[in-house]
Amino acid sequence: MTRPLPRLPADDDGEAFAGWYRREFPDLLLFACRLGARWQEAFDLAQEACAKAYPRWSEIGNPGAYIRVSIRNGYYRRTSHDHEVVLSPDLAEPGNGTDAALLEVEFHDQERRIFAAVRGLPPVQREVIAWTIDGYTPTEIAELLDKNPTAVRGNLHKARASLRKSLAGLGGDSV
Amino acid sequence: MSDQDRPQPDIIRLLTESHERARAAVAKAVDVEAGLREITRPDPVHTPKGKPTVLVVEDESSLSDALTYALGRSGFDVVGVAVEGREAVELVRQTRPDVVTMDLMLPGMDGYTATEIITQEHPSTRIVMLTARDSRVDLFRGLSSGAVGFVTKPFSLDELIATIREALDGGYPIAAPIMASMPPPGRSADARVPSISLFTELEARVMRLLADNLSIAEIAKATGFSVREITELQTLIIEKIKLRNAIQTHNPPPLP
Repeated sequence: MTRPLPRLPADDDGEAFAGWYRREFPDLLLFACRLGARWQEAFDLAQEACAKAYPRWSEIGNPGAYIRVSIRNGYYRRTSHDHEVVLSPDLAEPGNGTDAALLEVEFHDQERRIFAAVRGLPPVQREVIAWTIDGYTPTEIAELLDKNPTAVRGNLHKARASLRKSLAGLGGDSV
Repeated sequence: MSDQDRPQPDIIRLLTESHERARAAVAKAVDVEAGLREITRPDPVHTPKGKPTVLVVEDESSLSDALTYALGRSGFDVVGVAVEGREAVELVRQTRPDVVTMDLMLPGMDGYTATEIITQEHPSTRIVMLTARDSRVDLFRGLSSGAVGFVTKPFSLDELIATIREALDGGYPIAAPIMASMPPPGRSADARVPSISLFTELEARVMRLLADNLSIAEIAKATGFSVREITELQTLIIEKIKLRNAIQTHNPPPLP
């Protein structure tokens, strides 16, 4: 009688991955949303990136960076085949640009406004901001994405200036 | 970290503080444990030679041993044996076989119920029922629960393998003795076609009567339709069930 032998990861890797996933998954979702992904798409991108990383967990030195690069590559692969969905800057505005599923998340008004402002930035600036919010410096971002650090700083500067304007009055407009 | 990379005490701080609050809202809105389970559940059994995988569900050990041996010798990878329905459901979750050979009369959960659960959870898994009776009741119940192939006991190994292969190719192989138990479909060109809304009601009613093992003549009498119309409807019902199963196979329901 044959019995199945399902593949299971080594206990240590499985535990390490589970702990990391529980802690980081919400951040990954927000990262994908800030890149421009709709809520469901963000979930799929984050989940797919984690699923790909899981079998090789012990070999990945910096999972946070590795998985974020995987998410952004996945996002740009998708959008390169299709026109990017232009998301409404006002998340609550009805219409094609509204991400209804995202609206179901119980964000405070301020978070909604900030989120909308970030998603209203041009794609390159949006990405630099997404990485920056997650604690990555321009040098690190440039290395991970194989970009020129000066260009990354330039885009971060522009994004900050733009957000200072659009979020005036929320306490982030000091220079 | 260079001076240029030092965190800026302005808009970025506002964004990172906001991120913490947004993160808490997201953590509340997402079922992280379900996502984790989806990734860490066991992989389908690895099939290095590309052999189709089969799970045998059979409570008679002499038959399951024979099937395991014979299928293994015939180019299939037998990934497990279950002796009752609940175990079958669990083993399919673990091994994701291409095909399940399902005995119907099992201790505990029966083969129909197990088939229904398996096809709902894993629409791409093809289920071949091994039935002891050549009755259309088994066929209707089996098709309704999601099975795609039917073999009547006793069967030859060649017959079983041909059925499994046809099921794997997307067909709906039904054993000749079961088909022979059905009256031939009518050929009348002037048969009255019921209206769509009536047809739906009639279809459900005829299915119940067929499952109760009433004859075509009895069903015709009970419904007020002709024998020829009920015969055609029976064929149509089978095709509709097959179509429904095919649609479910290509459009699996979202994960719970």
